[in-house]
Amino acid sequence: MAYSAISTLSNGGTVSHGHLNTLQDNAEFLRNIAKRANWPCASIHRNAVTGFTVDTQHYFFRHANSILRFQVENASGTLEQVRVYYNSRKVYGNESPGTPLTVSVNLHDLSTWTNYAGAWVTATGYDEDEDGDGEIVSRSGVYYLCTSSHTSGGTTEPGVGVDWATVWSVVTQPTLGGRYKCYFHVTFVTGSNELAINYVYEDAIS
Amino acid sequence: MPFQELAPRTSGQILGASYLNALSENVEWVFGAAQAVNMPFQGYRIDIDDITATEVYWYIRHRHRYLHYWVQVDDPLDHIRFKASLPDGSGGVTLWSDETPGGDADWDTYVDTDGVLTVGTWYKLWWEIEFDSGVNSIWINYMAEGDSTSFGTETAAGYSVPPQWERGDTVSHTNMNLYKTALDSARTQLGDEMWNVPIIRNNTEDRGFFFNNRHRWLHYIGDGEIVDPSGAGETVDISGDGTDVVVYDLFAVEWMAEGVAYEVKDCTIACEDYAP
Repeated sequence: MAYSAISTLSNGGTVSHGHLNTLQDNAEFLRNIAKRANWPCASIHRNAVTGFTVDTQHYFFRHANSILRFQVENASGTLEQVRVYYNSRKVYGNESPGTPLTVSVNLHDLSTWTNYAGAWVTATGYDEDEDGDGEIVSRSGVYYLCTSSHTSGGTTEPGVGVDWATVWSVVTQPTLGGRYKCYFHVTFVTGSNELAINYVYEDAIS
Repeated sequence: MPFQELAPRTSGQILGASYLNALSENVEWVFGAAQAVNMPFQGYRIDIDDITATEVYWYIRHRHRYLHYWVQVDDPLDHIRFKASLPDGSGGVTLWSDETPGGDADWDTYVDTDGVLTVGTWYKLWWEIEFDSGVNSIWINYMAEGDSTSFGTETAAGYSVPPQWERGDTVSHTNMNLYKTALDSARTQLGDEMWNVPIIRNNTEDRGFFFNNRHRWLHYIGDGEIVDPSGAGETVDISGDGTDVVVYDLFAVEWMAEGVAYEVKDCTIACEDYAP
């Protein structure tokens, strides 16, 4: 049984038994979809870490929920930096993290991201994209990622100036069902240490 | 409240408030399920000349026909093989292979497991590769199984709380249309197919599997424990022979409830399922 299109009733329309059965059938269809197995997030524990490189282990989501939750912990050593990337964009950065570091990030509210620099203004220096680390500005409801360091002016006004696309790119939001990579970049102040990324998952509740 | 089976309506039946309320509760149940936490597939970059030696394995309880995978290599390969077996290593089968892959490669595709794997059975999955020379890298980016050959994307839709009814209420088209809005929204969130992700095997000491409880049955391999990270709940020991998948009834854990976060420690794999 597939999900059936539900007709929109108009004023004075008849609530037929067929319409009611479609509602219930669709609810049952979705119930079966939701019944899937519940797999875990496997934690990552690493000894003798100096810099945890992002590529060795990573997480791929079929995007479903807007809140990204994660926990990073150091069993030894002092964390210098924790950066988290999702969909090739830095969604969180902390240059003086405590431990355990328990964080939630709204993937759909770019104004809460670490690199958000506010609404675009002219005569301002913006830093370029380095591994997804560039500054993000908003203009007319659209978010832009700086791809080349520059001082802002009329010709580079995002979405408007004749040269805007040479220094900005539009930040696209993850879409439901899309496949996105999430990874961590962690460094310690000195020496080799013990690091744990306990979990990372998407949640619907902030 | 659990999802309720409702008998189909027939022509001429009286539309009662209790039926409409049960329908409302079902719709809310479905939407609540659609909001459950979403765990990732854990990928891996492996730096070696022959990854079968690294014992990087994933486990999955097979349910869906098409096993999707996305694998990348940057260096010339001698061969690459995608394999499956039962957890104890028996019944091995090659799901896909390329014996002459050549240079850089990027496989983002699927394999049809119809007639190859048995639905409901646990399998071990791994990649067997060898580079032409030296130590190189392979990225196991993604694996998941579903009932279609492609995973679609959807745009979010708004949710509306379905109405509650009392005897004698007028059934307005506005209220009835709230069901449609709610169901369509839940469908957008859930998609049109069940899908299933393999779990990476634990190869290191102290590694855990983090859950938010949804189902009654915990499937696992090994000797381990179920831990409440808050420290409030008593730790529960679970045991096994280290080879076969064992099923544990989470109803036996006093502090367990739907949505509770917990950790399974010291096991090779762990996964919750709706069936024992």
